[in-house]
Amino acid sequence: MRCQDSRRYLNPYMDSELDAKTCTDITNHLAVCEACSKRFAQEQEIEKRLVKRLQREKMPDESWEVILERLNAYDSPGRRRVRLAWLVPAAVVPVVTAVLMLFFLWGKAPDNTNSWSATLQEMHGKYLKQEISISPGLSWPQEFQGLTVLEHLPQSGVIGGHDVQLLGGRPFYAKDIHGAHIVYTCCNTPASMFILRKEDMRDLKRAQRLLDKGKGFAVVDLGNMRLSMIDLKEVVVCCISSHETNTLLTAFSRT
Amino acid sequence: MQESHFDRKKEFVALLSAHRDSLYRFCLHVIWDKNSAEDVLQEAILSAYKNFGHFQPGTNFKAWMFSFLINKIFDSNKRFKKEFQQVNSSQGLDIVEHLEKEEAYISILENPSVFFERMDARIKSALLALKPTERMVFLLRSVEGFTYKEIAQFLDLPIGTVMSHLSRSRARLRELLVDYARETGFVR
Repeated sequence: MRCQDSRRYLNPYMDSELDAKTCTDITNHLAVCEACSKRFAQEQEIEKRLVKRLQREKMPDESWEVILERLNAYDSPGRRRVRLAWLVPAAVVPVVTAVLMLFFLWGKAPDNTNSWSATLQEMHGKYLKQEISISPGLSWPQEFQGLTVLEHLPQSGVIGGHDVQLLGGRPFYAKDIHGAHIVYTCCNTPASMFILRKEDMRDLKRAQRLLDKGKGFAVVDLGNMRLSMIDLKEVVVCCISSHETNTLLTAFSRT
Repeated sequence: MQESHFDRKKEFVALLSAHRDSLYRFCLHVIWDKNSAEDVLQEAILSAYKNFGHFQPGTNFKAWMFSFLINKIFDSNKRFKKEFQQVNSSQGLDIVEHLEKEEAYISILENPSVFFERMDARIKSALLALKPTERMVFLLRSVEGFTYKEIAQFLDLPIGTVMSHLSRSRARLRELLVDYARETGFVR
């Protein structure tokens, strides 16, 4: 076996995934070729150190406790009784719902705008209740790197007369929505900015209509909060806050 | 009745506790956001528990749990699944051939201890820079020790495609380490 041939099998050799014959051929080659033998050992050492670093992560005890609590709750006698008691209505409800949906929505495209705005509102609420943490480091997985807006976020300072502080961000995955959640304070009021890809908003007919009607800008009243949206080239930036954040939102279009 | 539920849960928790760190770090390294990762992991564990009656005692519990976890990760983020479906099975990068003439990489190979001591914080950034497909396959094989066949079953991919992803992810990781080594002046 030539050096070049043996090196092609480095991956499966390291992973002990070679057939017996090829493995013997390589082992024989390594026994007589010092250069290949050294290189294989070095690669294995690099792999070992990489893996050791990544295996350092442990599940926090409090997360384990939450899991045990959820298992206990699932198995609690009360819940089991409730599950049985609900079997009949549980079977009837989906059928009735399906019939009603067919009746009312026949021919209409589904619109998930309401559940989507509720999801964003829920995430902002979780941040306010400190149920989710925001990383100040702003590092994004590779799949977010297509979002160029993340590289040019409006930074802390005075923007249009508003005192803006950038606190941090995190990727989020919730109910088929996938994007970046960035938290600011605007005049000391928390504001959650959600950056969503346009392609993920295909089912959100109402949101799209509002943006079209407002020439790329829209506001939805959520009671004690406001959801404002701005349509940028590749993404839609949505803001949820109890403060007026149009200035901060439009700052995204200048990045 | 009460007794059997208690025994069932006890057995499940005993099996699960041996793999809690593996499941947690895999989920965290794939999804990256701690809150989302914990939500997905809890859902996967609950789902597995509901189906524990179907688990065959004596078979690989870790692999059985990972199949639930991977399904929940795909449910939580359709983009991951889409990327796997779109993947082509072209040959992955060959680590050795790709970095053969890279002097900087040779320096890392010669001094791995010093390099890893200095680059500790950058290892996770390098993992972050891989595509989800590459990241998942690398974590499943190198960090969690699953076989190519098991990974192919988890991800519903041909073994050849798993090998291509793995080869590419290892080469990319090493390439990124070289970049970091240059940035920090470890090598020129």
